[in-house]
Amino acid sequence: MSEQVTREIELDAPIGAVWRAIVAGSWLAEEVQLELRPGGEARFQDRVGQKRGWVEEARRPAARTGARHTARLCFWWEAEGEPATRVELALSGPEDGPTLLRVRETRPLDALDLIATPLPGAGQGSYGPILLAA
Amino acid sequence: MSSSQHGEARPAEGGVQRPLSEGGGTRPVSEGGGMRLASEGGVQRPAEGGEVFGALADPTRRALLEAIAARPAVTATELAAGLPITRQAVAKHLAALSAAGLLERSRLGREVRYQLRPAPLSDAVLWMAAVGAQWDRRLAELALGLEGSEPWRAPGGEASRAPGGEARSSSRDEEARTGSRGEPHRGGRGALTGG
Repeated sequence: MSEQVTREIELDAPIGAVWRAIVAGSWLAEEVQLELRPGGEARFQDRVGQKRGWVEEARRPAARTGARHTARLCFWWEAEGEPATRVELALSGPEDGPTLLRVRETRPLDALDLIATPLPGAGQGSYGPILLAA
Repeated sequence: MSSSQHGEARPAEGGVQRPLSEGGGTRPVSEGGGMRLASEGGVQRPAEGGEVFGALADPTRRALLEAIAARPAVTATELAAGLPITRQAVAKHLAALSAAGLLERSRLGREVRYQLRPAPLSDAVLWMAAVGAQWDRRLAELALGLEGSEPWRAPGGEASRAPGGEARSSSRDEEARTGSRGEPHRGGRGALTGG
């Protein structure tokens, strides 16, 4: 099991703009570096510190059913000395907005945290938690 | 309305963050509660866990808890003075928090004073309160930024940074406006005034 926090918000903006704000802006931290592929590196730097992690899934906005578009970003992050947590950001809505953004941050068990911590400099194959967390 | 109280309240313990944008553009997801105890798995939680989480799912109650934690013992009237809600609303929230075992009541003459009862605040609850407050703030900022004023709207790492604090300090009213407009209609504002 894991502890989780969920939120949702309807944003008065096109889904593409919301996506860009998330992955290319400095919303999640002052400086965000995301390699948008499974296993890609994620770094979040701001004044209070740095979080590091990796991308589990990145699906940019695309039409799904009818006029509805969806997008999804899922990553793990970890501040130094704290357990890693998993963040899911799910976007949906018509192309021109409004866009519904759902957030879910979960903190898995300690045992899983140990495994979820990405190895510094390690390649894609070194990340275990995709399988374990699924 | 002033929310400065939130900013002055000290964190209860360890990692609780200030709920800078409580009542802003976010709300806990309703199905199952914004902060619910996940039921799968075999980890034991205290029996009162569900109630605790329910009590903490409301942003006003989290703000209240932090205000209470910042002082030795306070009355409902004192709390209401520092928050943009009525004393009656405060009393209602205090009852819910007490029922969840989060507060201790003591009577001194005619006054009832409240203080934090740390026991049920497990690490899990503290984490959820802190992370929940962070997302409330982030989502309020995102809603604001998408209205077109924030620098990060321009994609690309080359844009020079505006510290997050800038958006926050200058945007109280904006936040409130975004909150009432940028979300489906049952939202944070209702929680602020009613409960």
